[in-house]
Parts: sequence; structure tokens; C-alpha cells
Amino acid sequence: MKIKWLVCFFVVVLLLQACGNKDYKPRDLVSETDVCKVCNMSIVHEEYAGQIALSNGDYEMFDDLGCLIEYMKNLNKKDIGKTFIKDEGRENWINVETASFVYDKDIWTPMSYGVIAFESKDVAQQYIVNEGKGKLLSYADLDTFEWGVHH
Amino acid sequence: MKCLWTILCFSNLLWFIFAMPAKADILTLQEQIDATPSGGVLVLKDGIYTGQFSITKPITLKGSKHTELKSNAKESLLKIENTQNVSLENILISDAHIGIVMKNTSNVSLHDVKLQNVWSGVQIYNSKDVVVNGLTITGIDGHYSKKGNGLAIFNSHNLTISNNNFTNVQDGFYIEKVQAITLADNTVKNSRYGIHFMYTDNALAKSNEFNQNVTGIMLMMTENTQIENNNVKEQNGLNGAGFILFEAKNIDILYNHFQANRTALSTQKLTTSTVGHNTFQMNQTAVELIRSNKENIVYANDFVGNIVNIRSDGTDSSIKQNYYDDYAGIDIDDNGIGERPYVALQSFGQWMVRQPAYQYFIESPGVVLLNEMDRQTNLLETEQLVDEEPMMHSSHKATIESNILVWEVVVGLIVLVFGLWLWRREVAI
Repeated sequence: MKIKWLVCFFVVVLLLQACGNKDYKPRDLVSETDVCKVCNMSIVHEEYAGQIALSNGDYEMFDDLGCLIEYMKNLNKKDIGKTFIKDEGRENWINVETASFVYDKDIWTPMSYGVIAFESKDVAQQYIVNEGKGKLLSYADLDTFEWGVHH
Repeated sequence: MKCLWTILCFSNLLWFIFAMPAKADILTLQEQIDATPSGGVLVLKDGIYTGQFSITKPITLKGSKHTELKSNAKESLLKIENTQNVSLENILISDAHIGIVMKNTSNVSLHDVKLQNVWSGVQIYNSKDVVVNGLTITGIDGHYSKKGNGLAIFNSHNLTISNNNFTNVQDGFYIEKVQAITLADNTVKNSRYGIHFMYTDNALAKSNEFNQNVTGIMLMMTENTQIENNNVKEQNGLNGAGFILFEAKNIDILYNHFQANRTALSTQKLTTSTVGHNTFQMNQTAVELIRSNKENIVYANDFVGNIVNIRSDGTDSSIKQNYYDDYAGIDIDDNGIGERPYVALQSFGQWMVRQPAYQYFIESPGVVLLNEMDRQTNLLETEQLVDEEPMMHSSHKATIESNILVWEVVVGLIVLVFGLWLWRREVAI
């Protein structure tokens, strides 16, 4: 009888796991081998890097937020697990969809798109105040943002 | 005794007058620069000058045989700012984070400047009419992601960069938003990219040598550029490539020699460009045309000993009058052009475009069989990667340099004759 209950318990646990959302985590960059999926550049400026954890378990790496957004536009939403970008001035990865962004033509990024990411709107606004330049952008703004050099 | 003391005192006095360094000699380098009038020439004596220095007026700085500038600072060693007509010659810079930074300058030249053990060599911002010749840069040890660029140029125009030699840097030449630049006779080894063009217009890269970098030339969002007569060898790492052209327009790739690269030439989103008269020799993939290349032409190239000659993911580019060493057609009318088209289509090559990891299966039995099947079915292909006029012979003429020395031949003959004479004499006896 005990064994029956035990089997039932494991079956329930497995079913619950299957129903739950996948927990997508960013993977570490490997400078020796990682290249941007869009532009082919080696990712050497890790502070601007981005990545997409695909729902099939694969990862695609990008050297610049602009490349990541371009790649996302050609993907089905169901294929995207989670998207990550490096937090400006810090080492950690943040969720692209909940991040805030600052654009300025004088901000250098590997593809010169001039957009950097921050964990929150407050931090982004503080950056604009400190630097005396920049325009605040939301994730929704990135969809219509004109990617390209603006100098 | 008195006389001896007098002589001793007198000689000491003479030493104080003539042998003690003059006041100018004990000035710091910055003080010497400041003391040099505009348009003047400052010749630096042999010695090591430590610190950070700045030039803000038109002068010529010349080093002697052993003039060395050093800095422990985390910034640039020498700044040239807001000035014109500055020349630097024959100077060694070592152990600096950044060797030289130039901002808002015009008519500046660097000749025979050597930088060693530097994170980054020279950075040029917002400048025009700059000449850099004979620059040698040896970067720090370690992976290229931890280094700066050899020579980085931003927002500048009209530059001539020639006869420079860089090793162990991130990008040999990083060129961003530059107009009218010539890069000739330079060598870049063991770095990430030899030349990295970004948003550049009207550039010429000729007779350069790229060896064992990740990529010889990385050209991005650039227009109206000629890349000629470069020697591109052994960019054969995991992501190695001779040239990568990305979102570029009006680019001419002519008379270059690509040898033993993983991919010799990769083009993506390339338009109205020409790939002609190049030699692709022993590369894993010679030419890769991907992502909607438009109105490009690949003509009169030699494809010799490559595993995959041309591959594409569906392209508008045309290929014609190239020589392919695996072409099996015949030339009945003897006009140098094969009678039946060459089809470069390879199923496996196409798959490799989509999945680069497949490269590890090249020449496996299954792939060899697939290629043979392709050869048979390709006879029916009329649209993709078809060269209607394949050349029967390579345009490349093999030349063997004669290195026979006359005196060696004469001496050899004399020894031979003498040996024969000696032998005959022995026989006669």
C-alpha cells in the first residue's frame, strides 16, 4: 500500500513539473568562441552583450542590443524562452522585456547603435541626470526604434 | 705637491663647467615640449622619459637611437590635442596603457614609432590629414578580449596608414566613421581582426598581410571601398575568416590571395559589389554568400584546392568565368571556356551555412557520397550558383624564382673538373 502512495506522489510531482513554466537562465559568455548571431562579431565587449534562451534549450548570443532585437523580430514568440542583456555598468544579466533603456548618439556600443540597458527606470533616469545626456526608452520603444548609426 | 693640488682643483673646476649636465638636460620632457617654439624641432637625447605628456602646438618630436617613453598611468602616455602640423619620429613607447591619443588635430604624422607592451597603441579622434608610417605595435599577452586595438580611428577623414606592423592586439586597425582612408603594406598577426571597418566610406586597403587572426578584414556598414592585393593566410580558428563583409555596398574585392582560411570570404547583406581576380587556395570554404546578397558578381577568380568553392543560402549574385579545379568539362572550341556550365551547388555546403558545426563532417564517407550525388544531379541545375562560362585554366601563373648563384656553379664545375683530372691521373698511374 505504501508503495502505491509513493508512486502516486512521484507521478503527481512529475505532472506538476511538466505543467510549470521553464526557468530560463542566462549562460556565461565564452569570449573564445561566442560570436554574434546577427553580425558575426566576436563578443569581446561583454558589458554590451545580450542573449536569447530559446524554448528548445538553445542559446543565441549577441554583441549589441540592436542585433538581439533584430533577431527577435524574425522569431516566433513561442520559440523565445527569455531574453537577457547586460546591465549597464554592472556584471549581471537582466530581462530585456522588463529593462529600461537609454539612447544617445554619443554612447558607444559595439555596433554603434547607442542604446544601453538598465535594471529599472529609476536607474536609467539617474544615468541621464548624471551624464547630462540620453533619452529614456522602454522595451516597447525598441520595436519602433530606428537601429543604425546616428552620428 | 702644491702644483699637484692646483692641477687637481683646476681639473675639478673644468669638470663642473663642461661635464655637468646643462639646465636644459634636466628639464622634464613636458618642460622641453613647452619650451619648444611653435614650428620648432625637439630632438630627444637617448634615455628613458617617464610620465604623461601633452602636445598642443605645432612641433616635431624626434627621438635618438635609444629614446624611450614610459608610463605607469592607466591613461594615455602622450596626448596630441587641438593642434596641427605635429610630427613624431623615431620614438619607443613602452609599458603604457594607451600609447598615443590624438584629438581634434590636422596634418599630424607618426614615423617609425614603436610601441611595446601596451594595452592599446594609438587612438585618433576627430582628426584629418593624418599620416602613420612605420608604426610597430606589440600588445600585451593574453586573449584578445582583454586587449585594446592597435590603431583606432574615429570620426576622421583623409588618412594614410602604411608600412605598419602589429601583433597581439584586439583589432589591428579599428576604423569607425572615417572617410577617405588608405591602408597599405601593413601586417597584422595574432589578433582578432586585421582591419575592422565600421560605418566607413571611401576606403582603400591594399597589399596588406593578415596572418593567424580571427578575421583578416571585418567590414561592416561600409560603402565605396576597394580591397586589393592583400595576402590573407591561415585565419583558420573556429570562427576564422579571411574577410567578412556585412551590410556593405559598392565593395571591390580584387586580386587578393586567400590561403588556408576556414572561410576565405563571407558576405552577408552585400549589394552591388565585385569579387574578381582573387585566388582562393586550400580554404575550407572559399566564398560564402548569405542573407540576401544582391547584384554582386563573382568573376575571374581561381578556386584551387578548397573543400567547398562557393556556397549560398539562395542568392541573386552571379558567378562567371572563374576557374574551378574540380570542373570536369571539356573545351571543344579551344577558347579557354568549358562547354558545359559549372554548378557550385553542394547540398552539404548549404547545410554548413545554416549549421556551421557540420563542418566537422567534411570528407566523412557520407558527405563524400552526397557530393558525388550532387555532381550528378547538378547537371540539371540552371539557376543557383551556376557559372555558364567556367575557365579551363587558372589565370594564376606559377613562377619559380631562380636562385642559382653563378659563383656556386663555377666553383662546382671547377671542383668537378679537378676531381675528374685527379681521377684520370690516378687511373693513368
